[in-house]
Amino acid sequence: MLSWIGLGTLIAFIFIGIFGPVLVSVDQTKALAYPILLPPSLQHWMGTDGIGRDVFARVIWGTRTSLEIMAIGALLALIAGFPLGLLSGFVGGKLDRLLVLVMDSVYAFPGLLLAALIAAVIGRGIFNIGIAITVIYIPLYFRVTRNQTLSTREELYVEAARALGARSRTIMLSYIAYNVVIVIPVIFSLSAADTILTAAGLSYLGLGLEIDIPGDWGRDLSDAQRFLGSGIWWTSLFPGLMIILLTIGLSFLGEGLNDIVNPLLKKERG
Amino acid sequence: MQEGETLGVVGETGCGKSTLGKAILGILPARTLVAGKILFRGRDLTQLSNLMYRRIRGEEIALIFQDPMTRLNPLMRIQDHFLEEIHAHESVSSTEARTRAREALVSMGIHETRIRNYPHEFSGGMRQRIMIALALVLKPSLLIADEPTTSLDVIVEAQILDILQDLKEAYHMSLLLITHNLGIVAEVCDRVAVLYAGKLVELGSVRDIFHKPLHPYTQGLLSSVIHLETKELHSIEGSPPDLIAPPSGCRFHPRCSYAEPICTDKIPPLVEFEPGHFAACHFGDKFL
Repeated sequence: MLSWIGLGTLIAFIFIGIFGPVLVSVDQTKALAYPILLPPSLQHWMGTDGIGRDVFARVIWGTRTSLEIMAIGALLALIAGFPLGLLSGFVGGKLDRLLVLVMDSVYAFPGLLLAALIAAVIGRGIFNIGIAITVIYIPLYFRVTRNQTLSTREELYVEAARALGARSRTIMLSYIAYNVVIVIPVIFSLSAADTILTAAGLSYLGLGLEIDIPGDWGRDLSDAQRFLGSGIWWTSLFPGLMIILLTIGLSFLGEGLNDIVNPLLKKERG
Repeated sequence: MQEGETLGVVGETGCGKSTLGKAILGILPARTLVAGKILFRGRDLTQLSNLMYRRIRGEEIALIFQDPMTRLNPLMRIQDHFLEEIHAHESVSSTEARTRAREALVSMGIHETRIRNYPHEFSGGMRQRIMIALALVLKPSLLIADEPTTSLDVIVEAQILDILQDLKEAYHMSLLLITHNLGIVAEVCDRVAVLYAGKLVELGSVRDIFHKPLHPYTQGLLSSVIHLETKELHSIEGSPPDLIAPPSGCRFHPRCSYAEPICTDKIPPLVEFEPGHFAACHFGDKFL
């Protein structure tokens, strides 16, 4: 099933991200470590790039970079967006109206553009890019959580609990949050997939990460562009492939989870 | 209501029966306009703060709903429903709370091993019993039952009514039974209040209401029950009014066969036509 492929892919990438850099020395990713533009061979499984770096090493270290950005971005967005959505949906009123206005405004911005602006303001680095991406994804978590909260709030068992003297706080946490949390893994997977693409996009544009970072798929793609005409395919194919595989894997995971979770939601209401 | 009595509240769908129950408990939607007074043991509930009201719910007044299928949190075990309710009102140890939960469940005729089951593992009748157990675990003095048996089959209905009777005696509880089923009322209630279009039109003992109905609506209600032998079915002409723009004067006058001009002009006051028997009709004494 889709979610298993996705989960497997994600786990594989996490594995690479954690253990890869341990096995592959960072020196291989430094400029002029090797002769430039060597095609794939036994010594260099994916060849070397335009400034003499081993492509395989770059790809491995790039996995760690991408996963770090993804973790920071998607997780912080969840930590910020979920409680805000819950509160906003549950309490309603002026707070709700204000938050929805703010979130919708951020949501209306093209993601890449906004992330680039934020990166320009707060500077480069993995953590800063993570923050920039967090900001553009908070509205997604906020909106989904708020919608779930609004509908769960009207459930008849919530009214019954209130009739027995349940506190508002209890209702919000035990009753509503519990129900809403179900949807979160789906959104997390799908937004994580998007995060990878956004981060790669930023790097491709030359924004966000430092120039000498050991691994950066997007930047590698950008660097590889000028060599495509000369028939040098290995410097662009492998980073690009990694981006695609991880994104598709996460999408599969998200879609698969969605298939599992949504029938449950439908059955519960019926 | 008197302490220890069973008061039946009858009326058509949409006449305000459920709203009455929710109003007493203060759980109407947030922006509802509540005017008037609700006196409970000398206190006016409409003047209570949220905190005080929350204490009363479940502890002194409890409400059980009509549709047991959707009234329990599907993600929580039955035990957790009880524990949460007990902890919301009293600070007792988990062990004691669990014991009380088990006892409450057993008193409803459900085996105590089922306390860790989820709501979907129970039938409708059992869920209603669980709801009653939840309502009574804190021993309230007033139980409001909003059409507790409407969605259940007649056999289960009889069981539930028996349970309510027994509990009433065991706990010295008063019961406000909201229903549209006159049969239940005749069997279970001490007094009856008849509601029409949001207004109280008649109030009296069960005998008075059934044998000497003073208000034409009550008379209509009683004759609309299928006669056992003749199987005749009489209905009241017309349909219930729109409560946003109700008829002037007596709200029943468009459908009343005794209507006179005064009924359109003046709202009939609730008059005690004989001891303990009230009716809101200009011509109540005609029917004595």
